[in-house]
Amino acid sequence: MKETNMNEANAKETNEKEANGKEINGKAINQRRKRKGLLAPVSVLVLAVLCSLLSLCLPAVFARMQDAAVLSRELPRPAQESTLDERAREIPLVYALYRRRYLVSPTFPSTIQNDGTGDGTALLQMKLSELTQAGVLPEAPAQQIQELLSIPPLYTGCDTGGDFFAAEQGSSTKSLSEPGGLLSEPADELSVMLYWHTDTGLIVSLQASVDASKTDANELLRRYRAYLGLDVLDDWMAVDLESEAKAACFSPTGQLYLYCFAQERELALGAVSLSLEEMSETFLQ
Amino acid sequence: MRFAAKLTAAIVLLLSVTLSLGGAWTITQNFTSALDSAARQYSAQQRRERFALETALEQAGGDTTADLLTAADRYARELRAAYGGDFAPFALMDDFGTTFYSVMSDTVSYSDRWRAVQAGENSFCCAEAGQQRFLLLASPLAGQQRALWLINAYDITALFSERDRQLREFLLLECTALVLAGAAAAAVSIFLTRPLRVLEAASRRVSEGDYDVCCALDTNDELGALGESFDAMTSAVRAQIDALHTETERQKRFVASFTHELKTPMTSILGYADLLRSGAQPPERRQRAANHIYHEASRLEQLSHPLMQLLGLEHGGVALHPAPLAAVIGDVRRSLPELPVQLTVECPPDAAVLADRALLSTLIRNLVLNAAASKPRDGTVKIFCERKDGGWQIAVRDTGCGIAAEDLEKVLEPFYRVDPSRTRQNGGNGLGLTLCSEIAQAHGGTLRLESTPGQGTTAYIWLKGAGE
Repeated sequence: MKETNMNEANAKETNEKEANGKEINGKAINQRRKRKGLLAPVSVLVLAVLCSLLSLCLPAVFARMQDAAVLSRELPRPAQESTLDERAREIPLVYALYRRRYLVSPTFPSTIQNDGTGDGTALLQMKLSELTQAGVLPEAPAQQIQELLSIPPLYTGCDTGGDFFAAEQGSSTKSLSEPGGLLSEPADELSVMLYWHTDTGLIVSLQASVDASKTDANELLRRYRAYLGLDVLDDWMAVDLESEAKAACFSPTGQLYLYCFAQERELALGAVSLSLEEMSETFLQ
Repeated sequence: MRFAAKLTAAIVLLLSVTLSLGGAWTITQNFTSALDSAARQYSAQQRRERFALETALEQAGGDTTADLLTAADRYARELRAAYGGDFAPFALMDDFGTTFYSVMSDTVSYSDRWRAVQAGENSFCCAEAGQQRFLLLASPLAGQQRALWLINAYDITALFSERDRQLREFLLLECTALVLAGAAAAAVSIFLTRPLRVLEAASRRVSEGDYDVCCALDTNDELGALGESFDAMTSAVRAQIDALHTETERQKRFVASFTHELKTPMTSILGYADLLRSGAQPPERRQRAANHIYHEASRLEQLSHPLMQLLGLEHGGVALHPAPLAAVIGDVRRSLPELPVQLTVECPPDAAVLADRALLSTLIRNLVLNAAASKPRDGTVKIFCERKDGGWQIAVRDTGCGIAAEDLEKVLEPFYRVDPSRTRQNGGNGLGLTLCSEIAQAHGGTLRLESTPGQGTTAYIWLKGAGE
């Protein structure tokens, strides 16, 4: 009986201890849960704030990365408008005319009026004889120009501007009789003007107040192009100037426009560097 | 952490990341475009300068280094005369990195110039010199005996400054936007989570025992559906608790009635037993005491049978089998050979129900006995069977004294007697109709009474038909 009572007492004590232990553990778990419950929202809030602040720095970070990339490596150069073809660049005259387009003051040299040296006349005569010898100028207009040059000039001069040379002579009809082939109009100004490339000596512009109406403009243009050595460009296109007395052609590769006016009061030959866009604007309006 | 706060934090964080990424992309794209535009502009400018320098060198003539330096120097002086100090500094280098001429000073280092030459005429590079940034373009000079490169340095510090200004302004704009958006998000979150707070408060009240709470959320969304489900749940819990209360009350009443029923005979038995114990008694008194003890004990014993049946019905299921009603009624008739009234039966021969034949027989027997005890005027108790609602309705009708309306509600309760003295005199214990009701419910059916005092009573039992 006593043993039974002791066993019962021991079992009761054990049960009480277990109950107390469970109660203590339960309290500890609840306290830990409370702490975790407080920490969780605080940590979430801190994390959210940190992430927001970091994201605010993103643009600056990207900018610094871009700086590092830009300052450390080569970047492709944007394609320039109207870049001259490499084949055309090898032709000195074409390159010179093309280059002249982009100079700050792309003017042909000015002329000196009546410098009195006679250098202008001599140069004109020399260059004209080159044209004639090259088979460009027909005999009749060449003769007319020579006669014009023999008239005492009102002004004459020459100058150089960049890599082009100019010579010009101007006269008046007042003192003229009526030689054959020359124009005879009261007080008209008669002039001869030449521009040529200094390095190659090729004439890039000729303007003369002569009667070239009997000259075939297309044939003259063809010979002029050959004289300039530009037949190497194989993409010449005829330009319609709506006149039989005028002929012109254009090469997109060389960005070069050649013209010839063989009119009653004018003979003009020339080579001008033009981009395709300028060509379109000028002739397609 | 409140859900509204989590929602606000998530929205603000998402907005912050989106704005930052969008702003970063836009600003860097703008800078790239500006740099590209500057490169295009300066490339065109350098082309002009290159051509001018080429022309100047050709005009000067000569192939020696001295000729080159003289020509370059003259060109630099012409530039200075034309533009003052505001022209792009340049340098001349050959393919081997030898610098022939330079007006770049030390702002652009030799390594940067050489890097520009190596990049070639189809590329460009940028260099940093202190706080300044330069765009370097290198292009070969044509018409020279030796391969010469013109390097120009164009100041693009303004591009970087503009980009940094845009960054600062964007940061300010973004901070303002985040603050405003955060406030708006908080307000919207609080508004949108209002139904959750209503649900939370309602749940707390339910946990505290208030089952009459109703959320009545009228939002036309998932939260509204949750509120409706919550209200339905609380209604169901309320109904369940009411049913439990009702059942508890019923059981209390049962125990109270049972205790009362037990107490009366036990008091009598104890009293007479004590009399017998108290000493010698005259024989006739002893006999009377013994008779009383026996009588009350018998009454208790009779009470135990229906109680056991009631317990068995409450605790265990009833196995149902097809039972022909005519046969069951025949069992009842045979169990009542000395019924003081005439029993008439109208039952189709094919009437059959799903039932425990013995229990059904007990049910009908009790109803017939009750009908007989009401002393029908015509001396007849009638049993009718008819099809109804997919099953069979059995009616037991008498033309006895009937039951008043206030008693009719309670006659199915245990131990309830309309006239206690008359019932006890007839050996009744108030459990007959209770047992009949329990038997009907155990069969998945119902027991219903209709009565008019002075006219009679009809008991209707509905049971599922066999083979339905």
